[in-house]
Amino acid sequence: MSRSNKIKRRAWLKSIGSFSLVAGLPTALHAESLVKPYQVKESFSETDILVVGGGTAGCIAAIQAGRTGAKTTLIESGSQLGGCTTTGGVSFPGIFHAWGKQIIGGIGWELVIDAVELNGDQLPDFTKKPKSHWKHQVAVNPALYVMLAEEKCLEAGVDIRYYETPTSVKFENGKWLVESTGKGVKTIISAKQLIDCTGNALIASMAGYKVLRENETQPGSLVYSMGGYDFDQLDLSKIPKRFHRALHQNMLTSQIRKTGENTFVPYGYVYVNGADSTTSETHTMANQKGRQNLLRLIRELRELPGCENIRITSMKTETAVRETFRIDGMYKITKDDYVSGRLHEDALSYSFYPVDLHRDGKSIYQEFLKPNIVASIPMRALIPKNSKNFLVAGRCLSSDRLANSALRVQASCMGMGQAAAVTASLSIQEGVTPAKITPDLVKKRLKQYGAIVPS
Amino acid sequence: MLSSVSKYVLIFCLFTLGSCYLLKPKVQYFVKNSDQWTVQSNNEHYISFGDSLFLRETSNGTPKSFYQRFSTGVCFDNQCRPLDIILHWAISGRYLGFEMPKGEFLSKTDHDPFSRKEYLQLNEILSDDDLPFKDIKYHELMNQPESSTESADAISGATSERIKDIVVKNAAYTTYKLWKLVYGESQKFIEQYTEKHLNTSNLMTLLNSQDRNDVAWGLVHMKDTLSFSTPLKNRLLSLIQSEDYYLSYNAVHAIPKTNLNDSDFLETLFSTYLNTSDASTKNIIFRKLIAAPRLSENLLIKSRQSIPTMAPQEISSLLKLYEKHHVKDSVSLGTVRSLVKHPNPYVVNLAKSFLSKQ
Repeated sequence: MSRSNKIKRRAWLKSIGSFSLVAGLPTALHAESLVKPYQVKESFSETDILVVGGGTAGCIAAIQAGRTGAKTTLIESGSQLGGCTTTGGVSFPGIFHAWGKQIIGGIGWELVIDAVELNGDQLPDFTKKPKSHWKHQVAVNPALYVMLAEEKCLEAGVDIRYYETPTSVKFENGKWLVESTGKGVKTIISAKQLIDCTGNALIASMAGYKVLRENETQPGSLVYSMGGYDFDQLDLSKIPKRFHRALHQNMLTSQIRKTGENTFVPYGYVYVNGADSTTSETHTMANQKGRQNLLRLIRELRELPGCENIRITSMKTETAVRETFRIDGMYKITKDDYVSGRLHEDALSYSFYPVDLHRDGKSIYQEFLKPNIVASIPMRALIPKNSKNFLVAGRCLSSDRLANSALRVQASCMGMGQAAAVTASLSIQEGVTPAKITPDLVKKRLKQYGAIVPS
Repeated sequence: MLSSVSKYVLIFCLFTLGSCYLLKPKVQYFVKNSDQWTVQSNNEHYISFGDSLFLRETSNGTPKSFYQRFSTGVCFDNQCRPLDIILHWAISGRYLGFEMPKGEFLSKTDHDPFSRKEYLQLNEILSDDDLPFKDIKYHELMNQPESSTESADAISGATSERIKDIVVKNAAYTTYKLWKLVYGESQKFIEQYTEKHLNTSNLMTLLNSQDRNDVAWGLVHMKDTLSFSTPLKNRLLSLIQSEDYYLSYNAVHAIPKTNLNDSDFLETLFSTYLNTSDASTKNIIFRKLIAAPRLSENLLIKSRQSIPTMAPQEISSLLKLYEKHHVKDSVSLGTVRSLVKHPNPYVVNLAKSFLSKQ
């Protein structure tokens, strides 16, 4: 082929290319078409165990339910799992150890240790009695926790439904029919067993079971962190004492890495009085109040000497809530039960924390457990009175207010989540309602799944 | 005559005072169960850092302990009182005790000297590295007005509630000052020095210490580059299998990458994995097995034999281990195939998923 022929051929190919581009352009520019008005997608699905709420207790319950082989569905109103541990920013779950021994293990601990390891952090020495109880809480990277919890749910075959919330709950012909509504979807889910992990007993209440609430509840907390100042260089004698706590942000042992580099902390929080996450309306109000309080604090802090350049470095998207509704259960755990470490025959999980009532946003009533005392959670406290095929896990368990102020913490909720899921699974297997299950059977199964069972 | 008596009286008094001085025990307190040899001066060498911090070494060069003399002051209420003291640390930076030069003693705000009980209390306070002193500033030792800034400089004289249980009564400033000296720059330097010069011999000294804090320190600071001698390997294994779950967890963490080639070691590790009840140790052993370059045939045999008694979540971990190590031999695949008939659908799904990737 001569050189001139080559050039001609190249020019010809080029012209073809240009033609194709020009020919394709109008199509690309006018690729859109009118779309029919969106019709809410309606569907029906059947599951064995339906867990509502993918928070601290709920994601553990769902993973455990899936691992028992039960077909499991998890409804979560937000966009990620973990609840207070992640979205709420209380990313230091506890307490898993008491008096030198581990008292809560299982899936909750599995997630915590996975998150700790993947973040290159190190565990505190739990054999040493801490000066402050919270020093045995373990800091986790919330982003990692979210992903690990989701990965474990998916591995266990859990059908996760984000952005949804139940709008009706009915018990018909021995099964629960739950209408779940989310962005552009409405699903009727038929479930053999229902576990309410909303933390607010919302599903128990919708199902018609009695729930209780204090006239005045504990405040919530909006978690944030700040930068732009050096605490060690501040002259605290020139700063009113009420700001000291805000300026002295917290740090946990497991957040101090060998390299000296910190992970996601320090952190602080502002109180949000009356915070309630039960409904969209109350939760919206709690979030707004939290943000307003934080904005006010930041403005005040910037007036203080040495704090002129203070800035927010992170803020959680939701106010974390301490107390709303509790179920009226087959057994109500009392404060005396808790502080005396009463061991119930049907105890499925331990709980260890001081009685810890944040009263008015300014003071905390605390009562520490005496040496070697560890509280336990009976199965009956997870079952609403006169209920069928229904359990709760998390802070809405049946308990009086002071006991609840200790039971509400994350490790205890994780233990409950695992216990409730095993109970629900065995109920299906045995064909009876949870109240009729022999607790020893549940305990034996829980041990198989790595949980620590009171004895 | 009188002058002669006076002379004798004077000599007697001087003799008595001298005897009192000479016979008065030197103030020195050391932590319980400390390796006393670390602070005894027998046939040893010294390495100095600056003019006050010293490392004691045995004649063969094994580091024993550090000590430092502080001649400083404790200041409050616009007055300073001298403080002359020697502090001792283990090579891990752990506080070992204190001593004072002959004739020196500690006193309280009312100038009363410390009693023996108070010295013992001080020694106990100084041995606790987890006191809130680290977050407390000097002026916070005494009560301050709650919210006003105007009188914040005025000191009420009463020890702050926050620290009253962790200071020697009427000696808050001295307690605080000494604690800050124990856990200050010198301790940081000691830890950094030991870490930098850590060799198998030093490490073994730490791992064999009677104090578990030294053992834990050694485990946390163990380097991958150290020569993994048989005594070290055996000590590590004994710690991994110990009842102390914190040491066990850290001992697994400390296993050097190079030793993951040792198939006997891995098999012992796998047996520990199967037998330990501590979830944290189990978790870390699993990670080490995942990180190992290969799994021995013996380990695979043991793993297959264990499957029937494994919990679902353990089977899940084992299949991840097989997947990571590309376990494809017919016997192992046959064992996984048998899991398709497992009564738990979750396990069935795990097995099917594993087999689908083969």
